[in-house]
Amino acid sequence: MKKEFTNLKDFIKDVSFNRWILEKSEKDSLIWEEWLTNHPEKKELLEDAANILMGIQFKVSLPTPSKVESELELLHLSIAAKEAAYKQPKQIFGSLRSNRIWAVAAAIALIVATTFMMPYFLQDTIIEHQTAFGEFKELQLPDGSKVALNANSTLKYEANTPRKVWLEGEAFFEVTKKTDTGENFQVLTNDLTVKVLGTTFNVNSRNEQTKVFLEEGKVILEGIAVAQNTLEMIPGELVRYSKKDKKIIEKREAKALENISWRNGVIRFTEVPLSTVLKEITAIYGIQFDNKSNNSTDKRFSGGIPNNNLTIALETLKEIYGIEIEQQDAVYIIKE
Amino acid sequence: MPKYENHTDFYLWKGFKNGDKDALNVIFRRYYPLLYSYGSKLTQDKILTEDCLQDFFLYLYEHRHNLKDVDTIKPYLFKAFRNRLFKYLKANTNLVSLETIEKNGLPIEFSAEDLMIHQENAQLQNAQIVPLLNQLTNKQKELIYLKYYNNLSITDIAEVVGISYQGVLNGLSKTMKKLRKVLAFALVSMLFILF
Repeated sequence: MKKEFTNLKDFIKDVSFNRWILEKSEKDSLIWEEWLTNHPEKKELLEDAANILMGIQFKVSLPTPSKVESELELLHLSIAAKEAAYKQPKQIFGSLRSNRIWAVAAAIALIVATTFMMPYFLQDTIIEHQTAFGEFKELQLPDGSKVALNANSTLKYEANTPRKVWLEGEAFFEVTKKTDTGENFQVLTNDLTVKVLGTTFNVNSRNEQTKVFLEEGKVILEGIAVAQNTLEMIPGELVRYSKKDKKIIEKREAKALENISWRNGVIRFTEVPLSTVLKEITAIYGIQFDNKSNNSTDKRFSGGIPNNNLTIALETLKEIYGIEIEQQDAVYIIKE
Repeated sequence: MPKYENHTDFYLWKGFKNGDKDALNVIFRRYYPLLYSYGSKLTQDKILTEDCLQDFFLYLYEHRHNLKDVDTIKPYLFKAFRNRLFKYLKANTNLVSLETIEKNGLPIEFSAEDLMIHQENAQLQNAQIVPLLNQLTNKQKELIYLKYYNNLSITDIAEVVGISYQGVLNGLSKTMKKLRKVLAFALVSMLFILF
């Protein structure tokens, strides 16, 4: 061999060396045997190169083909949900400027109302945003805070206190911080009050309980039946509270994805039974179920269903839980 | 035979970029398993890896028009997925900052089950290799993993982790020096047989 072998790269890029080490070729082994006799000082370098090529034999453990197929199916569902979402007319909410004009108009209306119709309008003007079943809206509040309102939800506030909102249903908040006044932002649900400085978080007040997921920043839960009636949440934490039961049902670290994926058109579940998924579908699409199956009750589901396409949502359920769904008038009957 | 099964990566990727669902399926079936084991090795969290892979493939599909043309898909996907995983970890956990991961890598742990038993005394040998492997820096572990588990070439690894060819080689060489006592045995015995 005429070639110089002075560093690892020379060995590793050499075809004959590769054949010798990896394919155990006899012809090459003779060549290298001779070479090594003539270059005994290179033995260590050669061994290092050989070890790098041979390396370590790992056992390859891969997910099962059926797992890969079910993940691929989920991907197609997400793609379909996204594409459906693009086709819907997108709700465009005014810039700050038009919001201001709108606020001025509201204020004038308020003055008119309080001056001339005092006896009729003792209460402040209530601004209300509502979403229908399967609908999803993005709003900007007069103070600049952004709200994504999930399907079948209502957000209300008094015109003069836009940083104090009432929520029924589910919404994701991106609150602007009022550093000058330090004024809090408050979300009131039937169960509790979420008090905020400036942060992003999700509030879900369906099924007679309120679930708060804090993505960033700091919030305080008020009016709950624990010591001092308040609870300070840390980012990444999820708290579920029920006023009816007067207790915190769940408090844990959670992933943003499973809590706010609905904003991308997908409701994500981790290890949940059919009953939980049905409740969620009822809340989002406003349909009623009559569950006549029994063996699927303990089956757990991890995955996603679209929140703007009922047909795909139901198809997914059928497949995953192995059930039949039959529509009779307004009720969807679930069978084995 | 499904469409694309015999196409080169270049045409498969073109098909994917044109929004062809068949191309998407072929790519997904071919690379999901590898990316899954890579992700779960890096994060030690299978559910997070699953979520992130869904997010990753959806992202690729949605941004397919802006993706560059590639001749080999595998290193490109590994690289893109690795970046996505780091970003995702930053967004979904409170524990790690992105700079720390980028600087130090993720803490990979190897166990005896990861290693193939290929010789009579392999069990003994594996028992010696595993603690040595776990003494390596996170970055060295990742190089080892990409090279010997995923069969990526040194050039491809350099692309995936964003260092030079020589950098990868040095990393592998340091590792192998550390494992020398255990591995050199194998080579010596091989030379002995061949000579």
